[in-house]
Parts: sequence; structure tokens; C-alpha cells
Amino acid sequence: MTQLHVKIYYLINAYKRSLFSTVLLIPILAMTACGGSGSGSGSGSGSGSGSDGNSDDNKNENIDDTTVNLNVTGNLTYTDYNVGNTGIDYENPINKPIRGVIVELQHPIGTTVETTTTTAAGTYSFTDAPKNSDIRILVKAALAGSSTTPNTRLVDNTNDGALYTLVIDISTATSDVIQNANAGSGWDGSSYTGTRAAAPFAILDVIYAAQKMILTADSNVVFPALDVNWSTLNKPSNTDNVAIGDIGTSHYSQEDKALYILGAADLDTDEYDSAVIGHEWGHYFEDNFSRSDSPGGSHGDADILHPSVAFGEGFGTAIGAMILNDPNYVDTSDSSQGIGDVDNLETDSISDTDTFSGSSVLLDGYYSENSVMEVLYDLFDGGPDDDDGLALGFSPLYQVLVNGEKDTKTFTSIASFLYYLRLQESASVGEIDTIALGENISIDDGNEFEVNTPIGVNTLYTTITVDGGDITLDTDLNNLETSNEFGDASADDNGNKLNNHRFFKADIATQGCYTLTVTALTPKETADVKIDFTKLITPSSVDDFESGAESISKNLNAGPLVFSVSAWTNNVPFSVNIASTPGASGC
Amino acid sequence: MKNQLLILVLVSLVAACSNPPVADAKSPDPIAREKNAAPVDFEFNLPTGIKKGDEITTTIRFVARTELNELVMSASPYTGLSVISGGEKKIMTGLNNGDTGEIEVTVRVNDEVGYLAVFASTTDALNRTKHKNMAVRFGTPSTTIQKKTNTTDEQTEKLILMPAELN
Repeated sequence: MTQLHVKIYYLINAYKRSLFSTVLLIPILAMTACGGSGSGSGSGSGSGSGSDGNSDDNKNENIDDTTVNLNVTGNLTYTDYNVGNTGIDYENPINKPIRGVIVELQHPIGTTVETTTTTAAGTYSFTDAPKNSDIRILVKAALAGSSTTPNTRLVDNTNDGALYTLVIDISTATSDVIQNANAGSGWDGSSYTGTRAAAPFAILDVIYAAQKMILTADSNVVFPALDVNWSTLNKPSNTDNVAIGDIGTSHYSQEDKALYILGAADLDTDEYDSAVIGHEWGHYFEDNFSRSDSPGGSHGDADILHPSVAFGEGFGTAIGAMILNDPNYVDTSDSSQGIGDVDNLETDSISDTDTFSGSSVLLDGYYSENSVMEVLYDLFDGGPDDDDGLALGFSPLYQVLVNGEKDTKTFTSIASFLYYLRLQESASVGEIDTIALGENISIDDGNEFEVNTPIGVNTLYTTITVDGGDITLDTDLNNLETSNEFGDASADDNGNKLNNHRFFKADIATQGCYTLTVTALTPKETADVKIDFTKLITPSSVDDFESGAESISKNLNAGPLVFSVSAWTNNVPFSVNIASTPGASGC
Repeated sequence: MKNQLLILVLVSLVAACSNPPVADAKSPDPIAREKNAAPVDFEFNLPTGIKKGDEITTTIRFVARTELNELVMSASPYTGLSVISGGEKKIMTGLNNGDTGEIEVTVRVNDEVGYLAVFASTTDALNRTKHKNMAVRFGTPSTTIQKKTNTTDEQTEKLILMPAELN
């Protein structure tokens, strides 16, 4: 390409991007055509820029240098670290590409003249940089969506939600510039003393990978806006005040539709715990693309959980492993981030015979997040390390999550997920059942409500009849009662363990107005009870009174009505009544 | 008998009318899907109105949420306070679900708010070790506690500018 052609090419690019260029293009083209060769366009290298030594920019004094554009290109990286059971491996930093983020060129500083997105290799490229100027490149911790509008932003909840942005200042001369840059971790060998610029990009890269995986299953996906709140002040706390970093722990907030990630050094940081990021992003996915009826709350390995909690938490860990293609879930913490808790999803984390403390109830089952995560990951994975005979990959799981699991009439659980997966993957039912059975989960054909009932556990759902009067016994003919057998309900939390909530289904034969009433009974007739529906029904909760009874009248379509009953104190006996009430207020 | 029944009904009606259902005023925690944590809860009571300069003695209770082979507990200053006494590492073994361990600690609050770092390491009956840490806050933050600065771009988006390492 001749120098003249090069110049015209860049001028046309500039014309495309700038209204200002429209004014200048015609006279410049005229000057160029008449004036012969212009400045060189060869690439420079290394940091900063300067004259290439052979520059011909003094050869033609008719050229106005300020109107001739330079290329500014480079590679962007962030410092990452592996994690393991000894915490963060600071001894072996790894520079990884900053992928898919928005990059802006400013000239003068403060005025954006060109915007681009980094490639999968972390490269960026501008073509409109002015010569002999101070320019600024802003690398925003924001993933571009289909356009330059971000779909995910890494912001500081302790600083007015400001967006983390890497700054590169360059003084251009007359040659193209190659400027590579790295977002450093701020680790000085023994502590964080510098700006922890890498952290936002480390978090963002997991989400970039997550989005890529989703797009392989559905190329038309549009990701709803997500703010990921991270701060060096974000600490595990007993109080909730996100403006000062008291975030409880890393979590997805359904209310804010946002992630909150820990960053408090020497206590608990999660920016390099990619599996934790993937887990929490999984909750965002579930909330936006699938459905979760989980009431949230604290949970752990050996818990016997509300089935929607078990599925949501197990799914979060499983999708994190799928995103990273790594079965190890690592969560680092403590002084110098020197400890790592590791779960390997390929190993049976709970023995088939282990029981809940002080009871005969097996820890494995539909109520265990560990069981759920191991089943889901086994359904997904393949390759030499796979320990089962099935490798569905992500797309079949995705299809179930965004269809059957999203629309199921039941509370979301491994039962509903497996029900729809078996329908969809009918040729693999045997392998699916084998994997599930390995975790004490056996689904009955034709039943999306529940799986097998392990020894010592109530049958999950009690079926009640419309106009059948007050029901006080469950399917197993025990008195209806909330229970703290597997963990307490409290004044602040109506519980997320199995039997804190009791589950019901009623077959609504014909569309019409129905009234559902739940009444606390002696000796806890003043207890505060609550009704929860699945997220398919609005309102999804009824908790209007401090004590006694809760009631709601609704116009219902024919089909199954599913709900749960819980209480804000332990072990509350209650009755349930559903009646056809044509014309009742509320319908 | 009829009269007694009538009186009973009237009394019941009066009682019912004089005790209408009380509207529920509580605001339950919003749904938060948290990361997995060690099976231990922290409990403590702090006095209200804690201010800079106060010395506070409190007992941190560690409640096992499952059977534990071992529970290691400790507390140390994080920010804005100093530990005057207590908080040393303490180890308990053979805990059942619901069993508790305690450590007592006395702190001096040196700032508007101070945080005490509480550490727990659990080894469950399956010999799996997990950790859980928490920053226990002493004091009430004012609305002016945020001291950070940011800048604003053309689109009025607030930015935190971080210097790049050039290479």
C-alpha cells in the first residue's frame, strides 16, 4: 500500500467515526492528492511513542499533522493467580488477557473520540489517535454487550457505584503506537500495598467465560444488565451496610439484581476465587434465564436444605465448574489469603452412608447442595477424568433450565430438573438415573414434584383437596408442623432447611376464585405463619399478620397449585384449608 | 344452657373484636444467595451506642451446625480497634450439632467504627475442613464515613481511575 493510499484509508476511517472529519475530509483529500506523500504509518513498539527516526513528517510542510491519525494498539492483561488448598499462589503470577471489555480513547483527556472492545486475546486497536498529543486510554471494567453498551459492570459499592477503570496515558508523536498494559494485583510479596487493579478484571473474566458458554448454547441470548460490586472494604460481616463494605458475604442479591463480592484482605477475598464468582453468577443466570424459588440464606455441605435452596446452590457450584472446566471449587480466605477450602465435584464428597448429625437421614439426597452439584457436573462433563458414562455438555442442560425448569409448576428442585431432562434426553435416561442414584436421588416416571423419599424424611408434598375442610395431617399422617429438625427458623429468617417449610399441592379442577387459609394451631396459635408460592405466582408470599392465620383469595387457572407453609418460630403446628369462593374479595 | 351458650358466643365475639389481627411490620432479610460456608454460626451481644474510645468486653459464641471433630476459634483486631485482652486461639473437639464454644475478648474502639476479625476453622465428622470468618462491627457509621474519590466521564458515569503497568 502506498503512503498515499494509507493516508486516504485512515482518513476514511476517521470520516466514518467523526462528524468533525466531515468538515475536514474534502480539503485534506485535496491537499493529500496534490501534496504527494504524507507521514509514515509503520508500527512503533514498546512503551509510549515517538518519532520513528525515518519519519517523513517534515518532508511535506503542507500537511497539517494534527489532522492525520495514528494507530494505537496493544495487548491488555491482568495479573491472575491460581488458588488451592494453601490459598492464593502469589509466587506464580499469571498475566491473562483482559477480554471483551470496553476501551475508550480520549483526546483531549476527558473527551472520548473512539470506543472499541478488546478481543478474546486481549488486544485493542484505535485508528483515530492524534499526533503529538497527550491521549488517554480508559480500559473500563465493563463487558460490552452486542454494542458498546455494557451488560456487566464492575463497580465499587463503597464509592457511589463508580466503575473500575484502568488508565493508560500516552504522549503520541508521529508514529503509530503499540502500548501494552497490565492491571497489577497490588501484591508486594507479603501484602497488598498497591492498587488492586487486577481484581475487577479477574472477576470480569469469569463472567466473560460464562457468557461465552451460554452463547454456545444459544447465540441469541441477550444478557440483562448486571452490576458486580467489589471493594477492598467488602468484608464478611454481621451487619448489612454495603456502602461501607458490610456485605455479609459474597452473594447474589435478587432484590438488587446484583452481585456482591468480598475483597477484604487477610479476612476473605474472592476476586481470585473464580469458582466462587462462577457460583454467584450462576444465581444471576438462574434468576434471569431460568427460575429459582429459593428463599436464600446460609448453607453448607452437610445441610439438609429446602429443595429449591439445594438446587440453586448446587447449580451455582456446578455451573461455576462448567464455566471454568475445572471440577475444583476453591474458596480462599484468612491471613495473607493463605487458606483454601477445596471441593472436587468429581469426587463423592459425602459418603453414601453418612447421616445428618444425630439422625438416620442420609446426607446425600435431593435436599443436599453437594448431591445436586455432583449430579449436575457429572451430567455435563466428559473426557479422561470423567467418572461416569455420560457427557451431555452444557447445551442440553441449558435447554432444560430455560424451558421445563423455568416453567415447572413445582418448587424448583433437582426433581423438576431431572424430570424435564429425562423427557428431553430420552436416549440417556439410564445414564441419567445412574448418576442421580449415586447421590441417593431416584425420580419416579411422570413426577416432577419429588424424587424418592429417603428414610427418616417426610414425603415432600402433601396433596390437599379443594373444599376438603381444614387439613391437619400430612401425607404420612403426621400432624402438620414446621420443624427445626435440620435447622432453626428464627425471628429474622423463616428458615431454609428442609421442613422449615412444608409443601402442598392442590389440583384446581376449574378456573375460578379460591381462598387459601393457613392457621397456626395450639399450643402455638399465636405464631407467625407464612405462605410461599412459586415465583410463577404473584404475590409469591403472603405474610400480612404477626400471628394466627394468613389467608389469600386468588383467581386460579385449572391445574396444580403449589405452595409452602413456614413460620418465624420453630415447630409450629398448623392447618391448611383451600376453598372455592366465587366472588371473594381479592379475586 | 342456651343462655350460657349465648354468653359464650358474645364473649367470643367481643374477644375477637378487641383483638384484631396485627399487621405484620417486620421486614425480612431480602433474598441473598450466599456462598457456601463452614457449618458454624457466630453469636454475640454488643451494647448500643458504642463510640470511639469505648472499651467493650464481649463473648463470641461459636455454634456448631453439625457434628464436628474439631472447632478452632480466634479473634483479632481488623480495623479501627485494638484488642486489650482475649481472643486467643481456642480449640474444641468432639462437638455435636448445637454445641457451642466461646471466646471472650475486650477491645478498645479507636475510630468511628472498629471491626474485630473472628475466625473459625471446622473439621466435620467426614474430616473435611472449612473456614468461616467475620468482621464484627463495633460502632455506628456516620453517613460521611466514605472518603473515597472518583471522577466522572462524559456520560456522567462515575469512574475509579487505576494506573496501568505499562509494558
